[in-house]
Amino acid sequence: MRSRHIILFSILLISLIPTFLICTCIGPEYIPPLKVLKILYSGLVGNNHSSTVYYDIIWRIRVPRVIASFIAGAALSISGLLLQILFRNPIVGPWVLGVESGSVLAVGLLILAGALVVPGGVTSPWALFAASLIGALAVMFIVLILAGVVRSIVTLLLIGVTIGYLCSAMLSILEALATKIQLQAFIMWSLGSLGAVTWSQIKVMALVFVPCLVLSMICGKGLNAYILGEEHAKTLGVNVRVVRIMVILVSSILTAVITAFAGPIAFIGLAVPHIARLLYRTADSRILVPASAIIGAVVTAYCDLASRMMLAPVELPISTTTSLFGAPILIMLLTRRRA
Amino acid sequence: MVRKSVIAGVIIAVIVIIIAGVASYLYLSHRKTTTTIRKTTRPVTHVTARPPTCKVSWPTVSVEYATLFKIINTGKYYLIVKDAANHTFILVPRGCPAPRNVSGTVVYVPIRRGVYFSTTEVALLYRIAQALHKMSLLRTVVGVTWKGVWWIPYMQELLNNGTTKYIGSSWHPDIEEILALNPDLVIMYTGFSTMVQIMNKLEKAGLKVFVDNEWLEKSYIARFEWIKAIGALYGPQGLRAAEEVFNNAVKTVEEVYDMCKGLQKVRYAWFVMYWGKFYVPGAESYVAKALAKMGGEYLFQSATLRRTGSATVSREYVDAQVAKAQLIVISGFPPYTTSLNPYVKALPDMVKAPALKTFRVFEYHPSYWQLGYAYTGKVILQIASLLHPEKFRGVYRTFFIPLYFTDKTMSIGGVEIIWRGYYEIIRDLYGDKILIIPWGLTRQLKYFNPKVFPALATLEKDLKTVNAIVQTPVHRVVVYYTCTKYVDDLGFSSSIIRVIRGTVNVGEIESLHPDVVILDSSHASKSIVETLLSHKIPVIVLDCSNIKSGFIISLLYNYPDLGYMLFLK
Repeated sequence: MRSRHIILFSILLISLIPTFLICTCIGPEYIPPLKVLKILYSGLVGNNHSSTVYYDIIWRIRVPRVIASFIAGAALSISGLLLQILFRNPIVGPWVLGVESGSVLAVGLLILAGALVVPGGVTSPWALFAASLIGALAVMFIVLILAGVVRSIVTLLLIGVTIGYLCSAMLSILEALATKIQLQAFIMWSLGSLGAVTWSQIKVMALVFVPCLVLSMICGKGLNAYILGEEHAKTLGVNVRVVRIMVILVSSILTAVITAFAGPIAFIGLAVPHIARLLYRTADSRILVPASAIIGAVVTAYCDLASRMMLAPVELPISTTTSLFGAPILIMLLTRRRA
Repeated sequence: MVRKSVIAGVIIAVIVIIIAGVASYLYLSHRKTTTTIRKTTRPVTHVTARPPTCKVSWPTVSVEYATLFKIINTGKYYLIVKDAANHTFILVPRGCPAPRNVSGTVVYVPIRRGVYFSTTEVALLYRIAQALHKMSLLRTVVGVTWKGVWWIPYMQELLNNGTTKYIGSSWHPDIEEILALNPDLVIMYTGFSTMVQIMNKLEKAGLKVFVDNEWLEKSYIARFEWIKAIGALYGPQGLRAAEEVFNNAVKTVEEVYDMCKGLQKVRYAWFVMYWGKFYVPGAESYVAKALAKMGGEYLFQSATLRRTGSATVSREYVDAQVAKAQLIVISGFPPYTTSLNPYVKALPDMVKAPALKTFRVFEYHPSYWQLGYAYTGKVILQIASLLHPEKFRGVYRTFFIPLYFTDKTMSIGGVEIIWRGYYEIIRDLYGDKILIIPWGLTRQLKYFNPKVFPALATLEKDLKTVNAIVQTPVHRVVVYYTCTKYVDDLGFSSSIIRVIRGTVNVGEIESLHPDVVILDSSHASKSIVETLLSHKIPVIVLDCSNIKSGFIISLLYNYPDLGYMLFLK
């Protein structure tokens, strides 16, 4: 690792602290920053402030939300990066394997048709999580089976896109049959938000995220060999099938868990890996995986802050702000590629 | 090889020709049918050979509050109505000729076959039918877009017996089915692009479409004024009835507003949580405006919320505001909203709200979305009773129901209350379990899957274990004389159909068909209670010398807030 990379990593890691503080201090309900810091401190040292509204807002709403945005951003960015490497395609994101669509379809089945029986019933957030995870995993297993059978990576990409369309078609049928209330609920969920995330959900997100992060780091060497194509990787002694399955597994699980708790979040998985590449000027996956994770965390936290502050207290769907941020990057990349 | 290919080619060509032939035949025959239907239903204008004369007269009706439709009194036998899409309709009483030189779509009234896209429109028709004492009017509803629970009387029956057909959801209606119904008029709403597209499709199919956008009006009363438009579709008689119903509602609303003048302001929060997101009506919405006139002080007043529609707002904003609320109205309804628990979990400071301590959290009864706007006077009156329960005691709350925690228990006056969110079970002084639930909600078990809605599964289980069920608010009460004071204090003296003094006559009580019998433990024998329960008469035994028993009685009228104020505070 070059010294430039070390400096960049240090800066990015440190930037997580001001990002956390800024996103915690600013919110629709004005709380003086000094008071926020005091509350944060007292919460950390275990002083009981549970009787104040401010304490609850900071420790039970804002802090979990910021942490959730960190995890969501990091997870989606890693997922996007892994898929971009696997498919050797820069405009690939977590939706490409149809995993996100599978997730959305399962939630649709739950909300629109009540067809899925999950613990807690349709109104429970855990039910949403369960449905989303079931949908994502179901699609993921189909893709995994096909990944073992299909040789061409392009075919796999097409299969993923086709599954996505299939899920959308089934969703349209469900929408046609749904009642107004069900449709409204589904639309609201599909807009995506980190506003409802609780501490217990963060625990689940972290439990899934950390092993996936470690796995992606372990795959770094194999992924680097993959950059020049499967044949090249094979010649370097990389077990292509294992890497392929590992990448699909990790990216799908990461996408599933985030979609489950926050709904679909657009563009992060697509745009952040490119920022990491631009910043680090490297294609080394061992650097890009942690770099994308940190940049993704920071960017998502600010996008989330923007979504809750732009028209505060009216809250915008997080995909609105991530798209506002991601779309120009995508256009820039496309134009640069053409140039 | 070549020969085989030629043979295969010929076979394929023959198959293609056959398929094309069959498809063309089907297409043309379908087109023919459609054209025939079009011919019979196409709007007729300027059509008549005779001089247009008819002795029918329409009442002179003006539209005062609604802005999206117009009634133009012509002083002649026909009436002109402009709908929300600015279509002009010439309403001609049946038997009269269509007028000449008047442009617009002619509709012969009263309409006999109407397709209704919204249950609220059917509810308006129900009010007209009620006023005319002519429930058969509902039989003119030949198509609807709702197949769930109907809270409008008779409609479920009409759907079950096939008089009224389900024509698909309002955003995916089956146009062929609508055409097959051959309606005189399709009454639908628009307001967003999908519905406008559907309206265009229906019109292209040759149907007459009347656009009723009452939901876009700016006040409760303006919404309700659309009853006049629906009334006009049922002729002069229908319009007269609609006007009478509307005027009565306006009178009630104005009286309520007057009664609220000078009363202490009540800080309230009105919102709903769906899947972790919070929806609030804008500070200039008709809900907020109406409540402001009744002494309500809306807590969601930020600058970006100064709008007429609703908005998704941040959790922390709702949390901070709701902590100050004296009254909370959750605009959800069972089986989607069945408990306070998820709210308190999502909003940690909600427990600090005075509303929670004083039992002042309410939600909609599911019937509200169908019947509420057709009973605007009642809705306003009931909202006033939520804001000022002491002032409006005696008002039956049918559209708003109390919302409690789930699985919490309380002991009051020796009676154990097990809160179940939107209903409760009480174990009275004789140990009998009585389930107290808002009216009609047990019906939901037929339409919703208890496996998907756990609250319904609990209800299903509870129904099997309780000794009696009481549906609230109770309207017919038999009460032991020592307990009457509590009913009087709550303002529901008129609900008492019999006061018992001395011995209880089971036969007599049975003949009265009471909703509930309230007995005093000091005078009621266990055997009498058992006999009444065996006759399926709900009985509650209380210690009426204990003032706290009044709170139990308040639950029977959906007034835990007033019950708390009067008997527990």
